Amino acid sequence: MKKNILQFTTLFILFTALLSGCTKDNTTDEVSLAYQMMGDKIWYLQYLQTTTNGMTTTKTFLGQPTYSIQISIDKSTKDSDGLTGTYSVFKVGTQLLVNINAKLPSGLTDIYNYNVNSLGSNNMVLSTTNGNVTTKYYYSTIK
Amino acid sequence: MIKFIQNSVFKATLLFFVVCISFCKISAQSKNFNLLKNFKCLKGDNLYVLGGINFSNQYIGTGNYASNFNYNIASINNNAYKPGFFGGFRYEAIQNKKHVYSFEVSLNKYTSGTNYKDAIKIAPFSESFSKYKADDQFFTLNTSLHYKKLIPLGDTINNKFYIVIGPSLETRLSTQSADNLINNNYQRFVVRGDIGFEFNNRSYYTLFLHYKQGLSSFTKSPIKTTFNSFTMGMMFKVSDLF
Repeated sequence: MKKNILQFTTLFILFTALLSGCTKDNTTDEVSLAYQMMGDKIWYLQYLQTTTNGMTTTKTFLGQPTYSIQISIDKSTKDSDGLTGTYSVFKVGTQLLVNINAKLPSGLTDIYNYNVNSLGSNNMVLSTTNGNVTTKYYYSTIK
Repeated sequence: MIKFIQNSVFKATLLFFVVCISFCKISAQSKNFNLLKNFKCLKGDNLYVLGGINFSNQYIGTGNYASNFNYNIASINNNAYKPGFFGGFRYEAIQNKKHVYSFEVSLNKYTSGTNYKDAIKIAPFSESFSKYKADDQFFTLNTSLHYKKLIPLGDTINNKFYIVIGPSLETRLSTQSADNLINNNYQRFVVRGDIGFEFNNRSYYTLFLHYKQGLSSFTKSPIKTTFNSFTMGMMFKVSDLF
């Protein structure tokens, strides 16, 4: 009986090693996943939250005409103001960042940098901080 | 489908079954089979081929898992046991004509329900979210050791009912989704407790129903995932088939 168990343990280890050796969990970077989640969607601004010296005010755009931005998988953007541009996602430390270069009618380029607070396939929260004013942009793919 | 066939796991699985079936066929036909003389215990009479369906669910506690991503709970939460399938081999041994032990090796395709215990709010959004999204498809190699106890019920010469209990080790062979690869959230191995009933009809076939309760977490800390399954299936003696 002991010999049988030993033999089966050997077979088990061999099979496990053979089969588990066939797959490898390659790590994916967050930036690739962020591009997948953001791309090929129109994002509608639903809420705008401004915090100044600890005081928070929230504007809602639900059911109203609102700002939107179309983000394509080819890394181009087009917003509801008619501006086109490009975007890129990168990571600094643990923080994901989005950089949008919008082309103005004058031909000049405006650069916008946002922190990604939370990103999903249908909801996205971006923020900017300017001095003691923090602005959070709550986007949804649902109008 | 083509992508699946090209997958190295599929090729390894196919190889595993071809080798096992060939081995069983040769060992059942030849009494003087010397090729694997060190594995004399693998006799056709004690070896069974088995298959069936499984129903699985994951209970997920995310704890203080931190992530830059959110997943709408309404679209990922699914408190149900979802069906998959499995196939494999079992070896049974009797000690002192009294105690029945078995050793089982099977390949399992699980489709799992996902039940999230924790949800977060991202105000002012009204929906509930999770920072973690569980995978719901797994391909595993399962190995189980069972102790079988005959239940003295009815005609035990022809129809045998057994209660079965033992540990089970699942080895995850499939890769994780991109969402989980970021932090490599899933463990390679998960230990489960296996309890079930088996019915042997005149040694023609055996029907079985097992419940497997996750004992170790399928995910790494701080996420705690209890992976539970029901399995039901049928097994035949290899010597009856080949």
